[in-house]
Amino acid sequence: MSSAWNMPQFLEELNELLSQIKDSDMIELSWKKEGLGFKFRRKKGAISPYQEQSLELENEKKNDDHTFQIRSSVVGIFHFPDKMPEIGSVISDGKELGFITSINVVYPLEIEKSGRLLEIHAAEGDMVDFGKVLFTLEF
Amino acid sequence: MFRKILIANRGEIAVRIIRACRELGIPTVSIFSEADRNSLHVKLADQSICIGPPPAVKSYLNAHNIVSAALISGADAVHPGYGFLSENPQFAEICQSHNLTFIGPSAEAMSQLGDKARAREIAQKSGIPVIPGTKVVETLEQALKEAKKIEFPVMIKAAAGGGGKGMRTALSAKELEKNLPLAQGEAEAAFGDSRVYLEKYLVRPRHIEVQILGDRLGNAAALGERECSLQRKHQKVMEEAPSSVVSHAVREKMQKMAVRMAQSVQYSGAGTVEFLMEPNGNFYMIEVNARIQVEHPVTEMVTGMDLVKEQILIASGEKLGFKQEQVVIQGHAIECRINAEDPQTFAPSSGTITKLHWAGGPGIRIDSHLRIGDSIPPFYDSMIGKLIVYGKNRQEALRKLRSALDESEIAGIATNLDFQRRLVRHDAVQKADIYVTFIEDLLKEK
Repeated sequence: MSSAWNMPQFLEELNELLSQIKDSDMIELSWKKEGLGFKFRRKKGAISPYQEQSLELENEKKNDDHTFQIRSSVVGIFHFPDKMPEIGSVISDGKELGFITSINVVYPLEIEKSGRLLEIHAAEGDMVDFGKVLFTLEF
Repeated sequence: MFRKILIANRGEIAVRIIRACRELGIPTVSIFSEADRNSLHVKLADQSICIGPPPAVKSYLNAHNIVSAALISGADAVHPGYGFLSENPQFAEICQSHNLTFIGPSAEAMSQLGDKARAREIAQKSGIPVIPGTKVVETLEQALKEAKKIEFPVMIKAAAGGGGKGMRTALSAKELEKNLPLAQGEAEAAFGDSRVYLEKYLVRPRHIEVQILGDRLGNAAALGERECSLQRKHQKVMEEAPSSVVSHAVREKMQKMAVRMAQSVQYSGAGTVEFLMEPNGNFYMIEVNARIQVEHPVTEMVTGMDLVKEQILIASGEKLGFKQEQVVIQGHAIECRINAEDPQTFAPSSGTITKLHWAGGPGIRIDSHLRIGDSIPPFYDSMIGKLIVYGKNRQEALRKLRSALDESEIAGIATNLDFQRRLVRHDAVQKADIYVTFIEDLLKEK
């Protein structure tokens, strides 16, 4: 790190910046100073005034039989996206299978790797609690 | 009255609240972590919602999931019990902002009383004696300077805390140097707030606390005192009501102070004003617990009131149903906390209950969530039940307690039952010749 960097001052600036981001509805931000910097991108919908703990948006559990499950890691109401996923279809990574609304926050359920959808365990508008299995997919 | 109450807690207190709601005809929602899926409070509630994995910080302290659970279940009130989020003003505010009634005092009253330093200031302004102490101390230099003013020995206490967390004694400047950062670290870990202050350390005081109830219209009354001098590491072990050393005149005085304290912050709900009493009878207010206490049953036994029901009625806007002069203290009650812990080391014990028998009969009350086959998870407080006895006088209550402890049996996990049996037989306990560090001294004797 260059000698121009003053660590306490840097941390102070960073803290200030983060607290401003927290209170805003900013989605993306790039920050650079003297050749160093970072890029910040808020996960879609993850804006909540009182998220003290980071809430995982997805909870994928691998099974031994080449299947994996998408579980809810929040408490809320389950919804399908505009186009409901079809059983038997291959879901590509990054695709949104549905979302959970929890208080005023929307938590998208995206899968991180592709798989074939075997089962849907929730219906539109269902109350879901923590750990509720929502989808089973096959690798 | 409320449509549905969500109970933001677990264990015996969740069960206690569900029972009160049932008697009032109010449906309940319980919340649980993955470790408590098969707990009694989950079974007894009308509806149950899993709110997170076993660690409390991700479940019973997860305000977001708890509020969401209340909203999706259609609850209109949240009872926080004790511990967890019960004294968290931010949580009370979040509830309020989502049109959920927080069954407890206002966030404002909680903030004022929860901050021990602020509570002292309020007490002093209301003419209530407090232990000589300092404002928040941040540096060692500042702490040493302040300690000299109030003289050693001193106690380091967390500004935001309770339950003995972030609390350490310092008999000398050297000990202060060693213990200040430890207390600050503990305070930070337990409450997310490292601020501490110093207080004069009293020698062999008793812990006497006054139960208060206040409604949302400004009425408040005191329900007598509890003696909680039998503690280990600031965790109460055995509590009783009334205290053997509080005379009628002193009780009146303490009650008036407690009510004044409550009214000075427009306190509503159940609360406890805690005092330390020196052997010479001088007493000082130490703090106010803005919630229902673990030991509330002893007050219920001697007053004939149901404090949890009162909390719910008050939160729903009802006027306090009695006046101070109608409070009658009758008989004597003692509570023993039964903990899942190693009898030698007091380390928490977890496992599966293979055998369980609680004593019964007139004047014996068990507040517990324990059943045969239940697992005691290692993630939470080790208290698994409370054995409460009531007698027409202290002598009868003690005899009943001895017999009830002897009869009760728990197997599969280690418990402190044997320790309680020993304690109740101790001459000093029989004579009520006790003080806050009595148990620690007793253990040193071994």
